[in-house]
Amino acid sequence: MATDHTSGEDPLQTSHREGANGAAEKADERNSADSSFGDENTQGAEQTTEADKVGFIPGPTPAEFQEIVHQYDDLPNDQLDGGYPHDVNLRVGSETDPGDLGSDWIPRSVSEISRSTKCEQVARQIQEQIGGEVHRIESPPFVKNLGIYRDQPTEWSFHDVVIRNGRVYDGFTERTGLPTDEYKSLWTSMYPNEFQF
Amino acid sequence: MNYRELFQSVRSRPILHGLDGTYRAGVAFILGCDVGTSGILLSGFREWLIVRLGDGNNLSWTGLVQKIIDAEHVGQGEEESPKSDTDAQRFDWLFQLLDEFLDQREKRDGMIRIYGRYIEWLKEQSWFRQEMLD
Repeated sequence: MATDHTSGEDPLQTSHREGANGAAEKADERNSADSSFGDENTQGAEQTTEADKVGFIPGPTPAEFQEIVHQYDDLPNDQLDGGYPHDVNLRVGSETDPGDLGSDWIPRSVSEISRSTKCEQVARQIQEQIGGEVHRIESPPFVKNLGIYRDQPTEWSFHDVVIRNGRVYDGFTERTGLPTDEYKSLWTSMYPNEFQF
Repeated sequence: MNYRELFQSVRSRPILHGLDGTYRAGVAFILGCDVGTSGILLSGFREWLIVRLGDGNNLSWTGLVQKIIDAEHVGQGEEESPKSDTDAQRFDWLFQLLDEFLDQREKRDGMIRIYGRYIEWLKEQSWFRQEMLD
């Protein structure tokens, strides 16, 4: 099972993209003007150089983001289809610029892994923020659970994650997720070919 | 084989079945029976437990049983202090839950009702998408 909220063309999406381009242009202007970007405006020119190396697309300032958000205030929720953040390229860029869940993202503690629930809901929320596809990690036949994840025994029959640009996100990853192979290596009871990605 | 009778016997006298009466031993015994029936024995158990708990769609039946025991017997997560429980009690509650499930399932249209309630529950969840049932 996989769903992709980043694909497909419709008038609403096109409208979002215009907003996104506008935001990116504004951010570019700001970037060249004061040698800073995103939420780190106060950190100086040296950090901008480092950011350029990894190819970050500058995000809008919080005020610009609010302005973009309010463009959609009159739309009913069912037309937002996953929300605006990933459509406006808020923190999402090229393969060298992983999707970023933002500074507000706090991964859950690994001590909560064992019998934690609602991974489906977390995956949907992540997808709504950065796009990508929801994938389900399922236990092999005749096995009651997924075994060890991050050195913790799980009681999970399955686990939903989001995959975007070759990186995996779930409730326990940091804000920029993990490369696929690195993520798989955290599941010490599973063979790599037992993942559907 | 009548598994309800077998499990009632295991529940009352585990030692006669080679078990030490611990929760883990009970789980291992049930898992063995399930594997011996190619998974048919526990068909619908996980779904029945999810609806009963109202949560834990991602959990295996073993995780769900422990959560239900905590919620219904131990009182974990509630304001009152957790009631004391022993491994032997958990062993007993495990087989009690399993017997309740088998009782429901063997009724007329029992399996259909169990899955019907589970699908209703699924559709009430904010993260539900129709393709999950395709």
